[in-house]
Amino acid sequence: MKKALAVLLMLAAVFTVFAQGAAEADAAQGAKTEKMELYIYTGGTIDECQALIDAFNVKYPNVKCQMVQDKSANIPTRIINGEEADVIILIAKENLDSILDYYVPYKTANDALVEDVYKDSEYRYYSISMPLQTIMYNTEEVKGDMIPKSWFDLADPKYKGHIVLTSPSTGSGYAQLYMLYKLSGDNLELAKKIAENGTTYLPDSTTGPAAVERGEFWFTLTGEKNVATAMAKGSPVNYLYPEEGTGRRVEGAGIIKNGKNLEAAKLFMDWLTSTDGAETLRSLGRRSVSSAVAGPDYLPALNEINFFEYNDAEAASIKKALQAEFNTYL
Amino acid sequence: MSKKYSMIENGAETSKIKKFFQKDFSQVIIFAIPMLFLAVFLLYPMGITLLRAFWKPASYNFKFTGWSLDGFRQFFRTKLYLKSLRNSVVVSTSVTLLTLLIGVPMGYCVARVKIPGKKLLVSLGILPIIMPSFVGAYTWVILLGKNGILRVALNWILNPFGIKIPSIYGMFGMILCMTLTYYPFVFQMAYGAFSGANALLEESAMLMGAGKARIMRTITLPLIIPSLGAAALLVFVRAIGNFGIPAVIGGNNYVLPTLISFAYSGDGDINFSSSIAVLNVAITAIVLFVQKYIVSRREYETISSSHVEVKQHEGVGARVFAIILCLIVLIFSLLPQVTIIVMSFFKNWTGLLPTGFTLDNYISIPRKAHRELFNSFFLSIVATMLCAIFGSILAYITERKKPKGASLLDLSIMAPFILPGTVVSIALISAFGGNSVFKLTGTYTILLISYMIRRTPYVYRSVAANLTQLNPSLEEASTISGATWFYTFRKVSVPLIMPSIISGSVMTLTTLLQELSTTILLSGARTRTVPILIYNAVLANSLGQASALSTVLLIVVFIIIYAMNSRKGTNLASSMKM
Repeated sequence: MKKALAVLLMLAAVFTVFAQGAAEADAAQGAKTEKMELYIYTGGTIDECQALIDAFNVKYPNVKCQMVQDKSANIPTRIINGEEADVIILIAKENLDSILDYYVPYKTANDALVEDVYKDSEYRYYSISMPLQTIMYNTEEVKGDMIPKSWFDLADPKYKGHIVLTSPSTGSGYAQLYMLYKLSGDNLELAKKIAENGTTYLPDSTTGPAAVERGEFWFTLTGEKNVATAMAKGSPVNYLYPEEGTGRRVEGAGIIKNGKNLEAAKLFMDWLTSTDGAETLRSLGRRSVSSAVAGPDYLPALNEINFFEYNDAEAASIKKALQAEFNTYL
Repeated sequence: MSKKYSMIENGAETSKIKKFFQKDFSQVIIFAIPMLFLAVFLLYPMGITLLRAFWKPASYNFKFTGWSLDGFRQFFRTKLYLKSLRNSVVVSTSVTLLTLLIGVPMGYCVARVKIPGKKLLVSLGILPIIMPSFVGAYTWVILLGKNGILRVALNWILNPFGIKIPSIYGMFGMILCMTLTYYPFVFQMAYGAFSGANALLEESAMLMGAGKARIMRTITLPLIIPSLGAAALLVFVRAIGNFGIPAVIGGNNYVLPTLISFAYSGDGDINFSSSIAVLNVAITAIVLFVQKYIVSRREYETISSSHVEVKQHEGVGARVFAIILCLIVLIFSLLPQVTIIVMSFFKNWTGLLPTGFTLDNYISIPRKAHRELFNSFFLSIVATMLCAIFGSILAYITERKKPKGASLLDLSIMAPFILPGTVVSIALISAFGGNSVFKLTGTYTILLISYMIRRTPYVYRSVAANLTQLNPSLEEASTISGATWFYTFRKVSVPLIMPSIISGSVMTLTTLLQELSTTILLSGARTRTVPILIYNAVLANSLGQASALSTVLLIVVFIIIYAMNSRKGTNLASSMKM
């Protein structure tokens, strides 16, 4: 027991010493300028957030950023539960809207660069990127005439059993269901036909694109960024924006009142809404809302994509009813 | 006269007080501290979750919304939810039965047949459970998916017989994946039971003319039924609480943890997710009750003054059969681990074989994961030490001192064993979130507490099982000689129960190193661990990166387990007993 405890204690001590060493090194660097801290909560991935932090730190090396990563839909729960986030980023608009009382309204230094349609009227949050939904298909399985043109083609029996979607009980799955609802003329006829076409609805939004990459399924609906990332890896997939267009969905960022580092949060929001911030988002494969910045690699320019109405407020108000109705089809 | 009485009374009073202060209260204090800990960090959060289950469902609202049965009504009126409930029961029951079918013969073969490399077999036979389940599920898609290398090979072999492997997406995939992940619980317990069963009874039966089949049916199996019951329960609990495997390969077959995730992540509805969690726990409680009922009717104690080595089958046929069986099971169940190791050296694996050889997945680890590596090892080691101390003292008190309320303590310690990690996390979030008096979310403390609550049962059970087999005469001799109970515990009991403390601690440490379900909901900016990075890499479809990190953890875990198995007297099975 003594030996085992001694070994464990030694290991713990070694790790503590390493941790202290790292902290001291950080402190020495920060002492060169006014040291600030910033807690960023992100709905994107850890790598994406780290890339944003690295780019931000080029301009503001004195701000030491810490991140918390979670699903976009879980971030509001954390905020309501009192976690001390300074800013939240890459959060879907419906989730941003669920915590309107928790923001510190702030008009950023680059407000003029952001079109009115991409910001909250009371400056509680800014839209920063667009998770546009596209049809991702496997190019080895789907060729020539087999490539669909319309959303309605997904109900075609020739695709029976080859479509994988995300369950509408999740945040992104519901956004897709609402789009199908609008396309059908405010009803779930199209969604029902697609469900009856042997479609699989996975409970996690990340698993569908991976399954299409491997050719397990032919089609999925996903954010265009996932298609670009897979194409960059050399996977046999491509995107398809149906002729009816896609819903103009956005995701954004805002300063949270739970946080203790308001000044650093303002600096970050200023940077995020700048052209530099938009360029960094583009480099991560995300489509910035800034018209001054081109679309991400592998994806078409914004003006080449058709849009149809995506009303976030309406989507939120009829969510429970649509989900309940759709669940009867499964 | 009255004065005299009064003096006597006063004297009696003084001696009572004196006696009171002379009493050894250390035992009471040591009993009270863990009870207080469990009350604050387990019973209180779970109580809140139970209450929330009866609050009106509400999105993004932590406040009281009014008493209501709406959550349960909604559940039982929705066809999809009832279907998910059925799926959960079918999957968990099938997985439990199949793990018994695989684990028991394998345990018997390793324990009772003379085959080489037993330590290695036992060490390898624990690895399938030491991996985040969603990573394991992804590897099965790579192996048995439409273009999977294993599917192509199996279909080629089975084609002449007209057999085709069904799609990995759905019930088949979930049951297969969970069976191969969880059979080690049964294998380890069966191995422990078969090698530890009293051989004298079997020998006596043989001398009295009983056949092998009869001995197996009437002596061997009844002796190991308690262990098998515990293993079956453990598998059932794990299977019904698993989110990762159904999320990746369940297809349209949702299960209860899927619904909890829908309610919590999809709607931000902590009340409705609590209602589903309560149903989930209720099913487990029913199964626990049935298991206890079955096992209690067949519980035997063997008392013997001498230890006889279990007789090994030495026949060629038995040895060949045992080796083939073990190899088939191990090869199939370790395929995910092999896939991960291979994948860690490549960029992509979407076709039959991986493409883009690279060492970048490993080279980037120090830069990308140094803090997470520190956190994983620091938190796991500290939590293991605390569990070892906490668990062994508690086991000693409940087993040897049998204080009043020992059964309550026993139940409280073991409760987290039947609670899915997500349920414990949601309970801790609602109890210790930013708005509560004790704000702990995002700290090392909350992670250590949650790890302790969920993993203390390993050491506790391991030590308790050991103590029941130890004759207390040595400890009594120490006490008679004037030693306090704590001195006796340190100097006499601890050296005797050390093997069980080590096996419980190893089980704790190895499972904590890959813990995700609790950590993901409770970790903050500074407390991210390696499994969270792995999960993130999988989300970002960077399987190479996820595989390299998983391989690092896998190697560390294997070294720890192999080192422990090389030590005489340690046995992982004892830490899994319920």
